[in-house]
Formats: sequence, C-alpha cells, structure tokens
Amino acid sequence: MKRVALKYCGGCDCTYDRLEYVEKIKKAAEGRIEWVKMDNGRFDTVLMIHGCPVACPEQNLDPGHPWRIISVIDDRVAPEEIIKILLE
Amino acid sequence: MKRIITKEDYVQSLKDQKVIIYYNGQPVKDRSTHPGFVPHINSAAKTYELALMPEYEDLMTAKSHLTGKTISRFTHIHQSVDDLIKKVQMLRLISHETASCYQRCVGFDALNALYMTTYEIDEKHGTSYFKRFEEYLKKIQEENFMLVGGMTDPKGDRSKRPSEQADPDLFTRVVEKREDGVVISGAKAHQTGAVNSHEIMILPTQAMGPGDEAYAIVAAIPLDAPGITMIFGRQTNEERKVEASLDAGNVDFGMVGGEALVVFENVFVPWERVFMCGEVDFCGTLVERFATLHRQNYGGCKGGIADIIVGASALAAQYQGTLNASHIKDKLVEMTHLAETVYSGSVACSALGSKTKSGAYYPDPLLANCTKHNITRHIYEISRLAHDVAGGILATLPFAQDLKNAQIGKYVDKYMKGISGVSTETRMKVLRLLENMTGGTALVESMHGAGSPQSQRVMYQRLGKLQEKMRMAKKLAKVKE
Repeated sequence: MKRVALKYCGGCDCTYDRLEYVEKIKKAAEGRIEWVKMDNGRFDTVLMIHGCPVACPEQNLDPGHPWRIISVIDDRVAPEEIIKILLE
Repeated sequence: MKRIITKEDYVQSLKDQKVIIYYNGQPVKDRSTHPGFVPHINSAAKTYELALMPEYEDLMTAKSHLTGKTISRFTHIHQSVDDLIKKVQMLRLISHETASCYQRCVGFDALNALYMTTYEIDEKHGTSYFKRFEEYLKKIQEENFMLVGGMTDPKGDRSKRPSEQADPDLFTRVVEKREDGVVISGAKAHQTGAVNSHEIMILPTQAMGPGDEAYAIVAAIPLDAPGITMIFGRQTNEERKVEASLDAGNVDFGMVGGEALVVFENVFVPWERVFMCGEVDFCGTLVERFATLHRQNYGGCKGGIADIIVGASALAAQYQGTLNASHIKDKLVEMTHLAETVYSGSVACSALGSKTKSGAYYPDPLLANCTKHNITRHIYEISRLAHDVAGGILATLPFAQDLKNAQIGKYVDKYMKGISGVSTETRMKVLRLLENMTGGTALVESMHGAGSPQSQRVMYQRLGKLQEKMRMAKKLAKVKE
C-alpha cells in the first residue's frame, strides 16, 4: 500500500476547514493509502496541508529533502483529484 | 515536578501544588475546581492540548536550542526571525480557540528577556547568571510548567523612586541576603494567570539607579513557597462564572486572564533561582526588553480575539436580519481592517527582529510599541462597532434563567427572537459572547496590559529618531540653522 506522510501547517489563520478537507481526502482514498506522520521515515510522498498560500512548512523544508511534495493551500481541488495525484 | 504533557496533567499539577489563594474574602481549598478559576484554567490548558495536535504542532512546539528536544513554544528562546513570527501566529491561533487570554505569554516573554539580559550582565559584571538561567530554562523546557511573568509592583506614590517610598514593600525587594539565598518581601500586582500557575519570575518593574539595589531583583519562585499569598482580582460579571449559564458569554474560557495580587512576606529564594541581584544598571534594559517582547504579542492575541468579535457581530446581525444592510457590512469591513492592522504590527515588528549578543532574537522595539499602542485604541473601536452592529439588546437582554422560567420563558422566547430558523437561545448566546468580549475588564486589559499607553509614548520619544527626521527635513528644505 502507498504510504503518504501527512503534514499540517500551524494553522494560525486558515481560509478553510483543514480537518474536514483531510477527512474527505482520506475517505476518497478508499483504503489505498496508509497515512503516516513525518517522523515515520518510511514514505516517499508528503501531502502538505496549508491553511493559506503562505505555506510555511514548505518554505522551511530542507532543499535537499528526498520526498515528493504535494501541497494543498485551499479546498478547491476535489479530494478524488488529490488521491489520483498521490497514487501516481 | 512531573512533566506536564496533557490538559489532565496540567489540572492535576494544579491540584497537587498547595498554594494559598483568597477569592472574595475566602481561602480556596482546591484551585483546580474553583468556578472562579476553571475558565482561566481551561484557557491555559488549551496551550497544552493544541501542542499535541498534528494540525497545530508547527506553531505550538519548537526545538530547544539547548537540548534539541521538542518543547512547548511557550518555553522556547527565539532563535530566528521565523521564531518571532511563529510566536505571533501561535497567539492568533490560540485566541481563535479560546476568545480569551491563555496567560502563558507573560512567562514566555520573561524567559526571553532574561536570556538576553543575563548574558549581558555577566559580560559586564563577571557574574554567572546566564549559566544559572540556562539550567532553569532546561528545567522549564523539560517539565513544561506554567510560569507567571511578575513585573508590576504596586508602586505606591508614583512620584517617588523605590527607595524613597514611605512603605519600602511597595516595590518588591530583597530584605536579607544569606549565604544560601535571599529573602524577598513586597507584592506583584495584576498577575495574569497567577492562580493557575506553578511559579513566578519576579522582575524589576522599572529602570532603577544607585540606592535602589535592593529592588533590582530577578528570581524564580514556586508559588507554594512559604510566605506567598495570592488574592484574586474581581472581574466584570464575576458571578456569572459561578452560574456557568449562557449569561457568562464565554462559558468555557471566561474573560481575559484572571489576574491576582501576589504578596511575598519574607519569602526565601535559593541563589540558584536568582538571576539578578543589585545590578541596577541593567534594570532599564531588562524592563524595555520584556515590554517589547510582550507588546509584540498583542496584534497576535488581540487580533485573534478581534476575529471572534467580528464573527460574533456578523452572527448577531444575521440573527436579527440586518447582515445584508450596507451600513452593517461596512462596519464589519472596518472591524476587519482594524483587526488586520493590529496583526500586521505584530508581524512587522517580528519580521524586523534582530539577533542579540546571547544569540536570542528580539523584535523591533519601536514597531512593537506601536503595535501595543494601536491595541489601546483599535480594540475599543472594534468593540464600539460591535455594540453598534449588535444593538441595544446587548445591554438589556433578560437573564438566561428568564428564558427557562415556566411562567415568563414564553415571553422571552417570543420577544427576543430574531429571524425564523434561529432559536432565541442561540441569539442570546451570541449576544452574551459579544458582551463578554467587548466591555468591562476585557477592554481595560487592552488599555493597560503590557503597559499603559503613556509607557509606549515614552518609548516613541526615545526610539522615534526625531533628530534624524529633523535632519532629513532640513536637507529637503535646504536650510542649515
């Protein structure tokens, strides 16, 4: 099963409900993805959930990181589309 | 102390530490369950709860520069401009969750001000406060206890210096120096979160000069130390906390921080907990740094609180069918403008922060003072607009008990109702929330918390570069004299 790390920004002033959106994404995955935290080293893709376009965690990433980063800054993309990208 | 991780750990730790508190003339047996304190405990507990949630950990936690461990940001020493900005973002976030004061920023700011200043005291005087302070910092980062930043002395006759007061205890002072430590007497006023904290860091309240050495004292003191008594300050609508009905407005989190007078009567403090003792030449620097770090906060915490006031005002308008009126929309826009203005001040003073000799980062002091000064005005204006939008009902709403009353409940329900589809109780809850956040103690805190407006204006005189501005004007006017 595909392992994807889920990383949230700090959530200071979000423009949408991040948790609700992530629940929809997880539901759309239909069990095809194992969700892990970033301190679990066994993954190659990170889904970054940002509350706004500033996307703080992405800015703070080490440029030499080995992961494929999929970044979300709002809830406008259909959850099914996010899953499709993650599974590519 | 056992490391505090969860809300439950925090509440249990308050129960375990036996402190002396008086509330309305009565000693408090168990502070962890006292209705006067529970809302403030809930607010502070939120800082522990959010730190454990993946969706907030980026702001709520940091990596200790001393141990490399993940710690609460409230015990962190700012290592970069990014840390300064994250502090402000964190405060706005927690305000969104509590709509009240969560109290831990004062101790946080005391830690940072002391880190910078003890380093420089040692550099000049050859003392060893910095090393001692680092050990204390490791302890608080590990145990995650709650620290009060104890700056404000009662001050008695404001026209006189500490050593000139008729009663020498009106400024907290060292009454005896012993081989193993010092003995402290005096008091600290308006101590936010004191009744639900574990320790207090006492700091000098103002710049001092020769003759004031006994008053130049910094020390970390457990609040259960013999000789400490806390007297809780009565807030606006204090009794509504006891009722715990919708009339409280913000039932879970109360109003501002819950302040207390903390009295020290011959309290012993061992030397390892003393971080300044007699160095009057650094009192001004320490006070200025603490004030700047604390004034930096206000666009974050009050900005977040203003967001809730805007939201509650819009709901109040919606429930009475006025949300689409153009003048209401315009007032909500103005409130949003003011909220974002105060927030931008906090972000700006953080973005222009700089590195001190100790390695810790420090916000721009002029911009930080401007930020707090705007709070003394804009929160009042935001509140005024909230009152305007909500209407006079904010001041004349019947009791929650009237709504429940078998005889008259039907009248309250009938005549307090707004649009269809929204219950009278819902409307009353939102109006009470607005009332709680926009009047009385909540407003006074915006005025005087982190220093009264005049203290910020004094800083403008010092930091405003007036001579440089005159020079620039002369150059453009092509005048010389």
